[in-house]
Amino acid sequence: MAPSRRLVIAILAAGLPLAACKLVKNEPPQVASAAASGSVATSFDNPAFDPEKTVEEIWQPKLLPYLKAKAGPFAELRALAPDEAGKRFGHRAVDSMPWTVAATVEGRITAADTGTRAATIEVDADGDGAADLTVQIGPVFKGTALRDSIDFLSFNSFANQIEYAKFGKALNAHIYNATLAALPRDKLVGRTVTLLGVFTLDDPKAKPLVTPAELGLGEATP
Amino acid sequence: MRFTKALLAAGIAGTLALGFGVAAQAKDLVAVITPSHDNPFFKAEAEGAQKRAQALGYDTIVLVHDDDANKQMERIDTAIARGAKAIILDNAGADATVAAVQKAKDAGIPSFLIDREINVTGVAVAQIVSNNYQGAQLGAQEFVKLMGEKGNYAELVGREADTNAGIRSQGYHDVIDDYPDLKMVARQSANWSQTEAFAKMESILQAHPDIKGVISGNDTMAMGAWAALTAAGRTDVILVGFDGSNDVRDSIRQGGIKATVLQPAYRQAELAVEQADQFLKTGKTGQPEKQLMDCLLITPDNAGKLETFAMK
Repeated sequence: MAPSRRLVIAILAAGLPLAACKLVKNEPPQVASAAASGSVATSFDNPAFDPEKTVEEIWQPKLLPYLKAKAGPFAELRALAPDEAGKRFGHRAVDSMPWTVAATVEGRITAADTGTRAATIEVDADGDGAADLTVQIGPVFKGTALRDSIDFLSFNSFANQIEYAKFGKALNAHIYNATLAALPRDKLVGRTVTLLGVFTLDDPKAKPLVTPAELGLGEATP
Repeated sequence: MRFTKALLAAGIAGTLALGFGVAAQAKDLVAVITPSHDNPFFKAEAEGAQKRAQALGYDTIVLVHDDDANKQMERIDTAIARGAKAIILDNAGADATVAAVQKAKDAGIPSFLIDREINVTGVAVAQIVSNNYQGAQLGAQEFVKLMGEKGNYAELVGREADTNAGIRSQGYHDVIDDYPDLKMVARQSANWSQTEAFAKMESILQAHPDIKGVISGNDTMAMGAWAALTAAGRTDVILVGFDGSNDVRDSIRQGGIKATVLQPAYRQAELAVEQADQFLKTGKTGQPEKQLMDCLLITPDNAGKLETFAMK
């Protein structure tokens, strides 16, 4: 199923420039690319830059092993001061930015806010019935925690802020398409959940807003 | 002419120093080059850099390039001719600046870029920029909330040669475009300029009298747009800016402009000087070349703590 779908997309993608050539000979490529990504055109759009491809290339072979090696158990991580937690379980590209940490969580979903496109679930990680973290389940995500957790690619690796931002957005889109889109959104509350996720320690006292890299549901618990 | 005057001044200063019997060794010079100080953002940057450099024991020259790549090259030439040891630069264009920074590098002078990046690495020693994408998303989230997730709006975009214009617009749209009832009826560049924004806002109002909100790529354009909206009796229009200037802060506190996003411009300039100092002393900054600094949403709740691009 997946390969055939990819084939169809490849054929469509290959067909598009041809169609565009026929209709509007001199249309600059960046306009088409901006329209295709559902965004507005800017003077720095680079049609050769393909963030989805970059994400596809690193997700399984590099990103997941990296995060699994980096991650600490949620409770242990939360017990540490931000700098301690960051040094042990996280990364920051420069001293002027907050730490982004990776955590493993086993918990229970206490609430779900799925009426918005920036959908989230509340997760109780210590069994006291109160939520300890908020997990983004998309399709709209706040922030670029996945991007900011990575030490093997940085702002230095990209031509400019615009491409670096697109890379961050493509990482969020990847976990949505791979896992989160298929969640039974009306049947989440009460289920157990296991996840590997990242969050930024910009306000250490606030409840973490976690972007998952892996997420699995278990059975409903009483 | 200006050059001879500067030489003359240097001569007088030298004489004075000798006159007081102080060892006649000149301090190392740091050149601070930014766009015009007409925009308080650039003035704050220049001040932040200058004061930090002086505190670290440097002499400074402060120059402006008025967003003109040719003038920028002249200012770099001046810095080279004056024997500057380091250049702090808010540049005049992501592509056009590369040659100027390369020229300084070839003359042995390291450049530390603030606010705006260039499209290459390895020429400047540091490029410290605000996390414009994060900041724009903060501003857009507040704009969406204020708009009640629906209505017609316009966007004022900055100078096209500046990456910051593109990245802020992208950050805005990555949030706003998820709300199908928010409709963009106009999107125009006002080149970061207050007067251009005033004229653009007037014509947008004529073409789209039903407009409910305006999101602006910086605060000077927001001030121009607000003046046009006020003149047209349309102070009901929801306006959100970007920068965190004292002018917009005051407007927010008076119930005019609704929100802005603070770029830590003052601290950014200080940080660039600190890294320049460290580089001159040790040969490295200890940080990667390209660096981001997070932005902060400014609303009526925290506007009172904002002063000269920093939180009190």
